[in-house]
Amino acid sequence: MLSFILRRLFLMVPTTLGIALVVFTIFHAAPGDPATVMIGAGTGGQLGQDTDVEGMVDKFRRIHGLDRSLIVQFFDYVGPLNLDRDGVPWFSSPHTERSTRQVKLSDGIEIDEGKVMRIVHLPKTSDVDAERFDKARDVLSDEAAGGEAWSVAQRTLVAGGEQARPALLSGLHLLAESAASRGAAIGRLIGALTANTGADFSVPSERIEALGGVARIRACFAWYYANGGYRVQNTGADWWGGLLVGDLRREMQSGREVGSELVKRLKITVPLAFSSILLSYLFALPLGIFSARNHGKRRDGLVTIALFVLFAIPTFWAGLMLILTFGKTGMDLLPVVGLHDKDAADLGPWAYAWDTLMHSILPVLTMTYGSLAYLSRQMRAGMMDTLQQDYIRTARAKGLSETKVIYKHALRNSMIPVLTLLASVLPILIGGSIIIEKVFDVPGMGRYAFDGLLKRDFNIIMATTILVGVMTQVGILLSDITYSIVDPRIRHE
Amino acid sequence: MSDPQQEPEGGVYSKDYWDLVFEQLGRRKLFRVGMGVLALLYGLVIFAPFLAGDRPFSFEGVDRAAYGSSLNSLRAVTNGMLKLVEQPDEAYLAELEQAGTLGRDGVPQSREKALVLEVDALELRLDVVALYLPDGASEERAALAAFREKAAAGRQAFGGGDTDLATALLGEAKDLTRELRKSLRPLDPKNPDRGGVALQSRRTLPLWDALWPREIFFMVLWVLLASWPVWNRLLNQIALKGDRERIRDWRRRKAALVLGLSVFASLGWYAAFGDGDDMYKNGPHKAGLISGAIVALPEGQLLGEGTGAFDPTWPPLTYGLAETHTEEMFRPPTWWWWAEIDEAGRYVRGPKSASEENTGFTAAVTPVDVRAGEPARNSKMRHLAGVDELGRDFLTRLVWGGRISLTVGILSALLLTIIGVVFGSIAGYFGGRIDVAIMRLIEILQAIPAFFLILMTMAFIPADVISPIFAIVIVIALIRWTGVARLVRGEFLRLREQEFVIAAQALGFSNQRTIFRHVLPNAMGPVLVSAAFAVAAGILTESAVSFLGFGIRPPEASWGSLVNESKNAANWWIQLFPGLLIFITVTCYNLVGDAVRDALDPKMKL
Repeated sequence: MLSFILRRLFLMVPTTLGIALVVFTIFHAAPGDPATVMIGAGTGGQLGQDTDVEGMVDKFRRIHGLDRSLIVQFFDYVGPLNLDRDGVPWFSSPHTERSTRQVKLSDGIEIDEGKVMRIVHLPKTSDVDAERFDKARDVLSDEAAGGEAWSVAQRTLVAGGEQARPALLSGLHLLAESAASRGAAIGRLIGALTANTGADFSVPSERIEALGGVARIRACFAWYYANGGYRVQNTGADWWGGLLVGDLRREMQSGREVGSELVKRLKITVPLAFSSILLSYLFALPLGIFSARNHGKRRDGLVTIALFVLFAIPTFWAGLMLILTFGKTGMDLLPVVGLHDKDAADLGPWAYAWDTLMHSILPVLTMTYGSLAYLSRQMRAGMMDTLQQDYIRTARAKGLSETKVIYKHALRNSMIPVLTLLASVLPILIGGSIIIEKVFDVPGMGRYAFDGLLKRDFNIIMATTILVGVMTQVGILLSDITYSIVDPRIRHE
Repeated sequence: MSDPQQEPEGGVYSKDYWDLVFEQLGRRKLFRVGMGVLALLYGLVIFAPFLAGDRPFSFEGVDRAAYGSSLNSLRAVTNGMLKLVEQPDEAYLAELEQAGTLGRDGVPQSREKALVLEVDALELRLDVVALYLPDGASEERAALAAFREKAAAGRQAFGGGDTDLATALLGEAKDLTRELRKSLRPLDPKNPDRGGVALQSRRTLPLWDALWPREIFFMVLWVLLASWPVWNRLLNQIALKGDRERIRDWRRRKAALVLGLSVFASLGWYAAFGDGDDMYKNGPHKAGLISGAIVALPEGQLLGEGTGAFDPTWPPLTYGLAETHTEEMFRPPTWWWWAEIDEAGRYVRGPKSASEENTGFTAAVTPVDVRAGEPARNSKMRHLAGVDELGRDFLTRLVWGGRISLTVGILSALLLTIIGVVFGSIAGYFGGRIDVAIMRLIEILQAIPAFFLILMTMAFIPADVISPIFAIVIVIALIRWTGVARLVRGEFLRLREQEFVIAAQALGFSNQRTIFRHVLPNAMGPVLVSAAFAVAAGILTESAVSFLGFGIRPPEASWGSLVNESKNAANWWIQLFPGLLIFITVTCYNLVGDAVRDALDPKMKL
């Protein structure tokens, strides 16, 4: 049995990866560019006419690594290696390649110009050094610092060698926008860079006329890219990361950790879901037995029709109708929004529990009715099936009371199919929680998934889907285990 | 005389499987109820244009606005033709380039094509003018015909390559338009002294003109299917003389007949009347009748001289799909106690009336605008299902929204059944590695709750790339096929070992023939049942996805997205009615599915 469980647990890994692949494929295969969709969703369509949408999309792609090859992206998500860390050679992105372009001058000479952007420190640069170089660079670009401070700073930067170059280039990147007015600072930084590298950053006057100080800055970047400059961002992350080591990444817009957020949400959803499962089994079993015992009578017919009808009610509608009936517009009996009153934090423990209980009645009811209908139909079928077996006839022939026949002989056998349904009820509840938590405004897992979908946040969607997938598989495993407990004839080898 | 049903002449007849199935189904009361309600619902949505719309079935009167604008624009259109004929090709292309429409679909890319469009526009206008010209105005008609001929000759000359002649002819035509405008000027009934032609009332069929050929297909199909019990019995007893053997042979022919007739009818409709109208476009009649641009008059009478009044027949719900009554925004169903509105436009009682609850905010009230054909302000029939946020009649929206809900249900079930059958039969018939691969895929897909996956996929399909209606059908099918595939695979595994399949293989039949002629027909029973349930599940899924805002989007509406139109429980009719319809539909499908399952295999009974 243990080996069976272990094997099944082990098999869950490839299935989960498969789920990740499915989600990933949908994410990228769906028509429309994910980055554009996400930008559009994130800003709520509030883009002005003169907004630089392309620039925003481009930046978004680079920040979240959407510009990398799909395979790299997928394996980065899955892990266990963090592929957006420095120094991993087989990860490359169009934007991490040095982007240099050739400009043809009027006299036919071609010169290189590099793309101006923030350059991060080298992986081997310690944080202390990085800070030191950045500070020196800031002094050098500060007009008020004065000659003494400038020369000290320049010495630091020149002595820093290769490791100080990113600081200088980042400084140039900062200055590039206001190149016209900061010519002196740019000159000092380029001077330091010249001293550091020994290279010549002079630019033909034609380009200076066309671009101003930026032309020289571009020449610096072109040299840097041509001479092995790193541009990979040091995220400071671990070597290890990704799904396989339980890292669910961060929300794309707020940067919060998805994993811890999920745990917070699950603390709300799981109790609701479990109380719903408990309730539905608690009512479904007796109801099914009652139906089966009264098979063919009017009572059975009524129960069957009632359950049949319950089964066809759309969940969201049931929730809305419950709100309509019990909320402010109807009888005004129960609270319908959220899980707590606004002032719940000030309540005593008992009052708080009571408040929570009152708030969860309607959501749990909405979650329960569907599975209740489903389960009791199955229970009725199972019971009727069992009651036709020979051993039941034998038990009756022995003169046992009907109660004993039902509860002692028939019940355990008829419960087998119903127990296996646990596997299908659990994911339905979790999936359905999206609707219920939306209707009742409960800040649980379903609501989190819904918000993720609204924001088109890949990491949230991926994490919630995988979680639900894992729960489904756990549900199947659980029902297999219960199966063999209830029916000892079944052995999993 | 013996009953032919029981004792057929010639040959011993034994009931086959399908005979038994149909017999069983006919006996189930719940099946009949379910089918009846479903037929009713489908009838309602298929005949939606007849039920809810702002175009009268038939209209007698004069469209003064259309006449006037057509007459006035003759000159502009002729001028446009003339310009096209005169200018060289390069100039035309340069014009397109300047407008940024070079190479764009729907914009004519050559002068010839542009001219065809212009000629069509001209014909359309001439037809309108000719329609309302009185029968007696033979002089005016002759002038119009002369103009029409001249324009046609000009077009022909251009087609023949004679640009100069074309220019001359069209130039003459252009000069004619000025005279036409004068001589055909309509008589204004308010100022009869100024003279002009008294327009004659004509009969038009606005509603029928607006129908699409595809709607005719579904209408005919529905009628044929709904009347199936009647004509089937007649056909069996009269034409086939109750011969069971022939009845059995005719099963397929009947199905082909039903489909064929529907297709034939819609093709015929297309040939006769062409395409229909966009249903989101408001018809001109209601607004025109109010403003006086359209005058209702019995056919044949002259405008300004006619005496009788014509009352057009409107559909029962006289509201266009996009017609708004902003003054009645969120008005409860009119049979409801709180819906009564006084003359000024204030609610008489209920939470919306100012007297009961003064919020310190007085909304500007506008008197209810009762338009042509609509029930009176406080008639109980005015808005049976209330009014939505933009002042559109909610029952109209429900009827039209049902089209999308029911279509999505049927189409998704059809598609997922096809996908499931294909994958399931491949896996079951061939087995081996293919089977393992397909089963693994199914396992992965089933490990993610389908609803979750569908919602997610819909969230990533932008509405402007694929229409959400098709998107949701495809997505549901691509994700939900796994159940059917497992079912079919199981059936195939069972049937593969049976003698008749082994015999077929031993006879050297190709795989294709064995699968399609021998195995698949025997595996179809459970598939049919699951298809019935899949329709119900499809409708439920679509409604939930639309409710969450990732499915059908405005201007289209389905029952699910209609629920979403008001988050406020005070507008209970918005939340109640669409859900109720979904619920009824799904219940009926479940009833039918249950009955079919029991009929197909009594052992499967739940």
